[in-house]
Amino acid sequence: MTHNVMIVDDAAMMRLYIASFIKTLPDFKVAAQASNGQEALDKLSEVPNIDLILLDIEMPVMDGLEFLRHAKLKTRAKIVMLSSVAVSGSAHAAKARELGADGVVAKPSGTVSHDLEEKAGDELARVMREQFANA
Amino acid sequence: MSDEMDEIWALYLDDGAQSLDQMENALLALQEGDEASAGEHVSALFRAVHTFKGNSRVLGLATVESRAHLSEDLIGLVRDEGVPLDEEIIDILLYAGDVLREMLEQTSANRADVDGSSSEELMDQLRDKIARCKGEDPAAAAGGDAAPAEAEEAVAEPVAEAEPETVAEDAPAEEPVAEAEPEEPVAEEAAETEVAAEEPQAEPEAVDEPEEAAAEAVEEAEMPVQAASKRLIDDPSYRDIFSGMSEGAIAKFRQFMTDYPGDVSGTYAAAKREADNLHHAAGQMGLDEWAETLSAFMEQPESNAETGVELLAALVLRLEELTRLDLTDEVITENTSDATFFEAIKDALGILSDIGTNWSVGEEPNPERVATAAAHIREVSDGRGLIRVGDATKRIEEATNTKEYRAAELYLYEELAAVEGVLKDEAAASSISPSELLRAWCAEHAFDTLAAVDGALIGLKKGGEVDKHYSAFSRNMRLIFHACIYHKLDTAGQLAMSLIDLFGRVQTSHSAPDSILMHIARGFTDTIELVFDALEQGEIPDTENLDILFEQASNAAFAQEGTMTATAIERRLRLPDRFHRVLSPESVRAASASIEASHHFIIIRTDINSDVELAEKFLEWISAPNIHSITNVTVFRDEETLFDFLIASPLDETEVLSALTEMDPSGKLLSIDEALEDHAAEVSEDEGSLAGDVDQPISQGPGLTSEMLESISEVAASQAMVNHMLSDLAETGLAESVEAALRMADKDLEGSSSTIRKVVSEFTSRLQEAAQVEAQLVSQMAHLQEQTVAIRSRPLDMLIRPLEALVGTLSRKNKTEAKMTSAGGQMSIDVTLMEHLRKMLRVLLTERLSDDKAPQNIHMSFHRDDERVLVTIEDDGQPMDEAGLRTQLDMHLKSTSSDLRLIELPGNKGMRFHISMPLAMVVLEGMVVGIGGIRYVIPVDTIQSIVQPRESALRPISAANGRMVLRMEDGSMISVHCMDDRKATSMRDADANGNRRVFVVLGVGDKTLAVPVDELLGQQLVLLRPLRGVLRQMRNLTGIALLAGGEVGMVLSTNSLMSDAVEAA
Repeated sequence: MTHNVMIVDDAAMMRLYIASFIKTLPDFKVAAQASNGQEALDKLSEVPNIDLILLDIEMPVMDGLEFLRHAKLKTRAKIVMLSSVAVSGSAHAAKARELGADGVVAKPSGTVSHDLEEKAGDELARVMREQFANA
Repeated sequence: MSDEMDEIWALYLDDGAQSLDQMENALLALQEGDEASAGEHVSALFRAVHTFKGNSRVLGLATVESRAHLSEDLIGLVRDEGVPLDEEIIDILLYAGDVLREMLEQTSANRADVDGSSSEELMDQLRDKIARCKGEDPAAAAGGDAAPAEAEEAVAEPVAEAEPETVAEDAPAEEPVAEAEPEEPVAEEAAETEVAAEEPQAEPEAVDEPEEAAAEAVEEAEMPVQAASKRLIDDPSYRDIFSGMSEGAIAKFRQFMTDYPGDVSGTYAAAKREADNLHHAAGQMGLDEWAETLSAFMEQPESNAETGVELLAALVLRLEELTRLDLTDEVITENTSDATFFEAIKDALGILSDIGTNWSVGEEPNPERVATAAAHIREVSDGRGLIRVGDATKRIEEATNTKEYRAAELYLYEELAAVEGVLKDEAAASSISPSELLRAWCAEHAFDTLAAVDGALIGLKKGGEVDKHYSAFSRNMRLIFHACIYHKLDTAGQLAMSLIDLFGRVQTSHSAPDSILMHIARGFTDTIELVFDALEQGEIPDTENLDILFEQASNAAFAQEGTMTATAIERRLRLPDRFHRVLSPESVRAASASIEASHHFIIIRTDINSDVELAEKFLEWISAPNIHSITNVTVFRDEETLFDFLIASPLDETEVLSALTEMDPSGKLLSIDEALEDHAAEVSEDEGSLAGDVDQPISQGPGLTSEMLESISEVAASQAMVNHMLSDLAETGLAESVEAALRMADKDLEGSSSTIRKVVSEFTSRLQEAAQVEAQLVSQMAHLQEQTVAIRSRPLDMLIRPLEALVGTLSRKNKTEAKMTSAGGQMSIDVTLMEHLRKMLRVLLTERLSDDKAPQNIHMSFHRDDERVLVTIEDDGQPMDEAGLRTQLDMHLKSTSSDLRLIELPGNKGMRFHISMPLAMVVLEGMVVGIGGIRYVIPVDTIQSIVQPRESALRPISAANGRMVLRMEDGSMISVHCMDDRKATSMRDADANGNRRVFVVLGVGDKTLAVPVDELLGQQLVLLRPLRGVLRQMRNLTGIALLAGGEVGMVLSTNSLMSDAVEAA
C-alpha cells in the first residue's frame, strides 16, 4: 500500500530534497506540498486522503506548531515533524510532542539539509513507516 | 391523535421547510459564483441538509432520510475532500431539494414515510456523481443498488480511520486499531439498514442469495437497540412538547383521584382516554417505559372507588418518577448550528461524566444513554470537522468496565482540551474548560500515574515487551505533564514532554534507553513525587533539581553522542544566537572536527529560495570536500526568507568570498555575513576561573594556598621566637644583675657603673631584637590577611556569566531570544555576599522570564559606594507582582539586611529593580589613618588627594559659624571636617614633630570634604564586617575591619560624612 505524503517546508530546496528522498521509498508518494502552515491547512481541504505530513517548524505566515495545533483536530493523517529546531530534547521538540506530533526527526544540517538522505534518511524512513506499522 | 402530535408534525413541516429554503438559497448563491463566500455557502448547505436528515430520522421517515443522507454525502465531498463544486453537483442538489420538499409535504400530510420508487432517479444521480467524485466506477455505484455503495463506505471508513494510538496500558484505547475502530456511528448504520429493508428492489442480490438475506435479517434484528438510541424525545423541541403533555396528564390523573369516588364509571373512562393519549405520544417519542406503565394501567378493569384511587395514585407516582428520569435530567442542547461548540456538547458531556461517576460506585450504565450522549457529541464535532473528538466518543461507547470507561473519558477530554487550545474564546464563553478538568484529574491521580511510570521504567530496564513499556511510559508521562501544568510547574511539564520526546526517539530506533536517559527519567519521577507531596502538604516545593534535570535532558543528545555540547561550540565560536536552536549533534560533531583542524568558520547569507539554479550551485559548492557545512538557519527579513549557512573550511575569508562572487557576481544573493574566530583560550580561562552554572553555589575557591601555609609557618615561627626572647628577658633578672654589680664594687656606684651599663645595654639590645622580630611578625600577619582577603574576593563577572546562561536557558524554554547585558562585572565582592546575590538574582530572573510576556532585553549593572553594593536590573518586560517576588526573596533580603525596590518604567516600557546590599563582608581597599589615637579606614576609591597645606590655606568662614575651609592650589574651597573634638583653629598648628598637618580630601560625585588626620598608616585590603548591636548606631561609620597589626579599624562612611558636613554648613 502506498501512503500519500504532504511536505510542508518553507525552503524550496528542502522540499526538493525531501521529495527526492520519498521517491526512494516505494511505500510512499508525494501527494502535496506547501510552503507554510496556512497553505498546508488549505491543502488538507483540497487534497483528499493525505496519510502523512512531514512538517517543518520555522515557517512564515503560520509556523509548524500552529499548523499542528489546528491540523490535529481536523485530520487523521499522521504528522511527523522534520525540522532543524526539533533537536532531541529541545523545547521545540517537546512542544511538538505536547501538541500531538506522531514523530519527530531533526534535520541533520540545519534548515536546508542537503545531506538529509545521507545522514537522517534511515531514521526518517523508520519513523514514517512506524506510523503505519499497526494499520 | 393528540394535539401534541399535531404540534410535532407541524414543527417537522416548519423546520423542514426552513432547512430546504436554506439549502436552496445556498445553492443559488453558489450558482451565481459568489466565490468569496463559497466556503460559508457550502457549510450552510451542509448544515441545512444535515438538519433535515436528522429531523426525518427522528420521525422514522427512512426513505426521506436516505435521500437527504446521500445528498449530504455529496456535499461532504465538496466541503471536506476538496471535490470542486461544479454545475452538475449544483443541479443535482437543486433537484434533490425539490424532491425532498415534495416528500416533506407528503409526509406531513400523511404522517407516514413516502414510497421510495418515485425518487430512484435522484438516488441514481447522487450515487453516480459521488462515485465519479471518488474516482470509483460509476457503473458499479449507479446500478441502482444502494447497498454496495454503502457497504463500500463502511469498509473504506475504518481503514481511513485506522490509527495506532499510544495510550494507557490497561485501557482499550491503547489497543491496536482493529479494536479501537469498530463500526460506523451507530445511528447512521441503523438508518442505512432501514433504507435497505424498505427498498427490496434495490437489493436484488438479497433475493437471489438467501444467505446474505438471512445475514441482513440478523443484522436488522440486532439493530433495534441501536436504532432506538436516537429517539424523538432526544430532540429538545419534541421533549418540551411531551413534557407539557405529560404534565397536563398527571394533573388530570390527580383530579381523577378526587373525582373517582363520586363518578367511578365516568372517571374511569376519562382516565383511560387520557392514559391512551399519553401512551400513544410516549410510543412516538420512544419512551418505552412510559408506554408500558400506561398500558398496564389501561389493562386494569374498572374497580371500586378505593382500588381505583390507589391505581391512579400508583400511576401518578410512577409517571412522576419517569418524568424525573427521562424529562428533567438529560436535556441535551441540540442547537448545534448557532451554539458554540462547547455549549453544544456541554449537556452531553455532563451526562457522560455522571455515567462514569455512577458506574464507579456500582451503578451499571444504560447503554442507550451512553450512545445518545456520545452520538450527540460526535454529531456536533463531525459537523465542525473535529473528527478526532468524534473518534474519542466511540471509545466511550466501547468501554466494557469502569476502567476502560475512565480511560476513554480521559482520552476524550484530551481531544477536547486540544480543541479548547484553538477555540479558547468559545470555551471561555461557555464556562467549560476541558483542559482544566483534565489537569485537575491528572493532579488528583498523580501518585498512581507516577507509579505506572516507574513500572514502565522497570519494564524497560528488564527488557522484553519494549514497545508496550514505551507506550505506557509515554501515555502516563503525558498525564504527569497535565498534572505539572495544573500545579503551574512549567519546567517540570516541559521536562516531562522532553522525556517523552527522548524516549520516543529511542523507541523508533528499537533500542533500549541508555543509562543517561534512565537516570534523567528516574531523577524526574523521584523529584516530582517529592514536589507533588510538598504541594499536597501545603509546603513550598524544592524544584531546583528539576532545572538541573531539564538541562541534562536538553543536552542528552550530545551526551549520548559523546561530543562537545552545543553550548560549548557556541562559546568557542561565539555563535550568533540565531544558530543556537539548530545545532544538532551532527552539526556539533562537524564543528568539533573543524575546530580540531583549525578551519575558518564563516557565516554566509544566502537569498536562494526563489532561485533554484543558484541554490543548486551553492549547495553543490558547500558539498565539496574542502567545505564543511555545519548548519544553517532561516532568517526572515520582511517578506523574504533568507538562509544563513555556517561553514568551516581551510579556505580563508577572501578565498570564500572569491568563490561566492564566482557563483553570484552581483554579490546580492550570496555574501559573507561574518567570519568567526575560535575563542578557545578565553573559554578555557572562563571554564577554569568562572563558574558556568548559576544553579551551583559560588565556588569557595582553592582554600589555603601553599603561599598562605608558608606565611602561617613564618608567623608561627616569629611568634615562637618573640615568645622565647621575651621569656629569656623575663628570666634575666635585670635588677639582680645590677645588684650583683654593685656588690662586686662594694656598693661603689661609680666603680660599678660600667658593669651596670653593660648589663642594661645587653638587656636593651635583646629587647630591641624582640621588637624587631615582633615587627616582622606584624608584617607577616598583614601579608597573610591580604592573602585571606584576596582569596575570598571574587569578581562579579563570575556571577554574571552563569546568569547570562540562565537567561539563555529560560528564554529558550519560552521560545524567545532574551539577551542580557551587564556593567560593573570587574568589581570584586566577598564570596558570601556573592552567594546571596546569586540566589536573589536567580529567583528574579526566573520570575521575569517565566512570564508569558517575558522581557527580551535585560541589563544588569553593579555599583558600590562605601556602604552598599547596588544592583540595578532593568528590562522591557511586563509589570510584575511585587508581593510575590518579595515573598520569594524574603529570606535572602532579611539575612543580608538588603533592600529591594521595584519601579515600573514610564509608558509601560519595562521594569527596574534595585537591590541594595550592605557592604557586609565586602573586600575593601582602604587607607588606614590615625586620628586622635583611633585607627580609621577610608575607602581608597573615595580619596581624591592627600595634602599638607600651608597654614594660610586654612581659613575660617564667618558666614558658616567659623567653619574651616581648605583652599586648594586650583583655587577651589573644600569644607573641613574634624573626626575628633579638637578646635578647628588647632588644625593649622603643626604636629608634635613640627610637621604640617595632613588632610585627606574625599570626593563622592560633586561633593568634596577634607578630613585632617594625625598619621597615614598605609593602604591595605581589608575585610569589612558590619556593625552589630549598639555599634550600628555609630555615626559616619560603615563597619569595622581587622587591620594587619591586629588592631581594629573603623571604616568611614564617606556618604554619611558628606551629609553631616552639609548639615553643619
